[in-house]
Amino acid sequence: MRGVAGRHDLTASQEMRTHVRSFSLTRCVVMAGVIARMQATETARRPARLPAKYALFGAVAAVLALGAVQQAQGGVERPSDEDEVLAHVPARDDGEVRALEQLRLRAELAPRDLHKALALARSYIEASRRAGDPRYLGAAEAALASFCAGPDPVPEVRLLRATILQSRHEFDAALRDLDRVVEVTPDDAQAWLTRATVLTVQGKYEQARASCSALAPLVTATHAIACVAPIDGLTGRGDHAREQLERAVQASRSSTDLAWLHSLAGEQAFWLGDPAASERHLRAALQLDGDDRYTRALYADLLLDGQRYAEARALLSGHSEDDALALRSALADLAQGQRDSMEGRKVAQNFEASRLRGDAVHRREEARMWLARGDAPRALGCALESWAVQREPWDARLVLEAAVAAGQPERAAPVLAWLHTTHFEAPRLRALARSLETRP
Amino acid sequence: MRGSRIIHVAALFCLGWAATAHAHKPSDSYLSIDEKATELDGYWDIALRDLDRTLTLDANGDGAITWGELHAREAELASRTFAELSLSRGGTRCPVDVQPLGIVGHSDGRYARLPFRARCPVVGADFKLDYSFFFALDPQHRSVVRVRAAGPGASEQTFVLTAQKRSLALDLAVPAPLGSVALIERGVEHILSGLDHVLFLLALLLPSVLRSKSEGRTTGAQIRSVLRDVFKVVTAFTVAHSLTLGLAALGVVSMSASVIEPAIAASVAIAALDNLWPMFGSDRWSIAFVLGLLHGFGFSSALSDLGLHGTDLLRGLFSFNLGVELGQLALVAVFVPLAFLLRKQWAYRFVLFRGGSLAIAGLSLIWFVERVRGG
Repeated sequence: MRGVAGRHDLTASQEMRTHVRSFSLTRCVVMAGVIARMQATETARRPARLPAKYALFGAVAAVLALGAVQQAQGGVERPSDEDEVLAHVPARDDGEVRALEQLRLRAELAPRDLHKALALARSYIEASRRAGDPRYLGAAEAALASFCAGPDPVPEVRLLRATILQSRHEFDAALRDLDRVVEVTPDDAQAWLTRATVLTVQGKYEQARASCSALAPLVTATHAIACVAPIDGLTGRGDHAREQLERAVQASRSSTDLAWLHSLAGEQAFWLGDPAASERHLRAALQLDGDDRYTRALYADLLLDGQRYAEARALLSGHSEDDALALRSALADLAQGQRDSMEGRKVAQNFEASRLRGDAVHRREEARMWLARGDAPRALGCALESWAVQREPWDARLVLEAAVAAGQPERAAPVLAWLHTTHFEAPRLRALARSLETRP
Repeated sequence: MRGSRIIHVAALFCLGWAATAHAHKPSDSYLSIDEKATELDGYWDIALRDLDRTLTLDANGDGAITWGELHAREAELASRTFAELSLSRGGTRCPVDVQPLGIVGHSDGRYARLPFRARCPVVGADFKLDYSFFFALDPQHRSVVRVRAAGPGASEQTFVLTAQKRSLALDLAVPAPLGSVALIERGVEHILSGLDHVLFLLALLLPSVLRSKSEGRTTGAQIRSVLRDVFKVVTAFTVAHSLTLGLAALGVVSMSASVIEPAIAASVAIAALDNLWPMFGSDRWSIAFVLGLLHGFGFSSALSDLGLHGTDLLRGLFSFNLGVELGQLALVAVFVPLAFLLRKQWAYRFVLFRGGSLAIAGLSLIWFVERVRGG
């Protein structure tokens, strides 16, 4: 039988529920047969030959029995232990889970109640952020589904939908929602802020700035700075941005604000080439909010750049369910010569699963992985695909690094043009750009 | 309304960026479908987390889904899920028979594997799959569907079903019923192209032209004893593999491919190694018989691929087996006279016999390792 894994030749008869652990047993049984006859080698006396023959018969009988039993199970593994834990789901006595469940029931009992649906969707989005799990975003989308029908859903629904869309990198669709929200409710600060960040990702800096200007009168000075500082950083006003952020940090009293500001400041310093300041800020941010995966990933990047692999692993340990963080672990492994680490394999499997389902959100991470594995052309391809959708410093860096490694400077042209127009002052990117431009 | 409208600004802000590389994975299910002539064999892998949202598997709410909790709901699970999946051919729905479920692992955790078999009343070329599972709870749910058409060397196609694209329509060519001659040809083809079967036969036949006087095989044998030897070995092999081929093809006995394939490789190794270090005596027909049982199961998959039933199956079995024997006969008719003529040569004794047996043993042991690993 030239079988494909998982194929079944099923018989109507048996339905044995015996559990058999497959291959080790097969191997043992056949090996037993092999060993039995090996032991009967030297003397070719008649009596000594009989045991070998019968050992073989026994081995074949055992194999046939095993094959029949395995087949009866339909070729799938059925555990034998009733108490074996197969999967973990949120426990019912978990406070958050209870709250979520309550919201869900309330929304279910009152399907036309907008506020209950909004509350549920917001909770799912928050759960997704905390767990780093996109399944919750799908649940949030389902919660809003009946209110999304029709040509003009209400602003609150649109805002949440935009949040979900931009996390899937559907930036144009998110902007359509956000533009409508600010049109209908121009005093919705969250909408202006989200809009500014999406526009920044798309490289539309003037429009992003305009969004921040509209935001400013609606929020505190701190929040206004937090909106505009990243844009300043990307458009050649990096020092100004840093100053503003430092001052805001000094002035702030709220720990959520502080966590956010420290994260922004750390990111600025990272790109502007000040690893010490960056580390200070990122550590402070993580101390205030340990759940912030984005900051943790950035700090890991800082450590990886500084070749502090053990510290990177320590930072990331216990967070391996998060793809972004697992990738950094894998990169630490690769940098230390472990080409086939468990993290690396897990990350590769996740990319494969993502590709199978047709998602394209992982291109940047894939580019990093291929670059670290030494496949520069492939990395360049992924990096350019990511660049087509988003203009973030990391995407720019990956395009440049991959272009250098692959010896294809002409393909980095879009990023070089971007660097030129934005005047982004990242020393590393400038150096890479110079090395690409001086090639023949 | 300064500030009050900002709900976890920082949180949502970070969400946008953190979500560029998702932890875990969005919800997917995996469907695999093999077309046999009138049947569709397959399995459906569904994430336990997703099933928990559909059915609340975690009965005691302790945050862990145990095997006991899962298989207590097995029947309900099967009916609820398959209510959302519809397979049809020629415009008529194919009733599905769900087998006992098992557990498999995918990149984001454990899934329930629900094997099924669908018997299609109309064997039309147009195959349609309609899928509506889980979209109501998660519009981002997708199903990755692999379909393999019938016939040898048929390619596999993969599709993705989404909330926006819930059905799949394919043209599966209806294999023309094979005549007896074609089936005989299939049999010949199968044995001669199955290197493991060929090498097994050769390993059994290599020593037949030699005769062991004391230990080892050193001198050439007489024609009469050669023919008698070959006859016994080949007949034993034939009877054994015909027996198990018949039992498997008729569905009386069913063997797991993942157990049989490595065992066949091991049988080739055993036969070859016995040539070098004789263990089973000079009368090898019983070995040929016992190991031949394994090979018969190996042949049966080629036959089951054709999806024959009833009298067609009996006829097919007979023709196919005849083909296998004819192929075997051809092999013997070419090899034995040649070996007989060369039997006294040094080249035969050492190169072909010893060297050949060693090579066969080595190759088959490599196969064994590969097949055990699942390659």
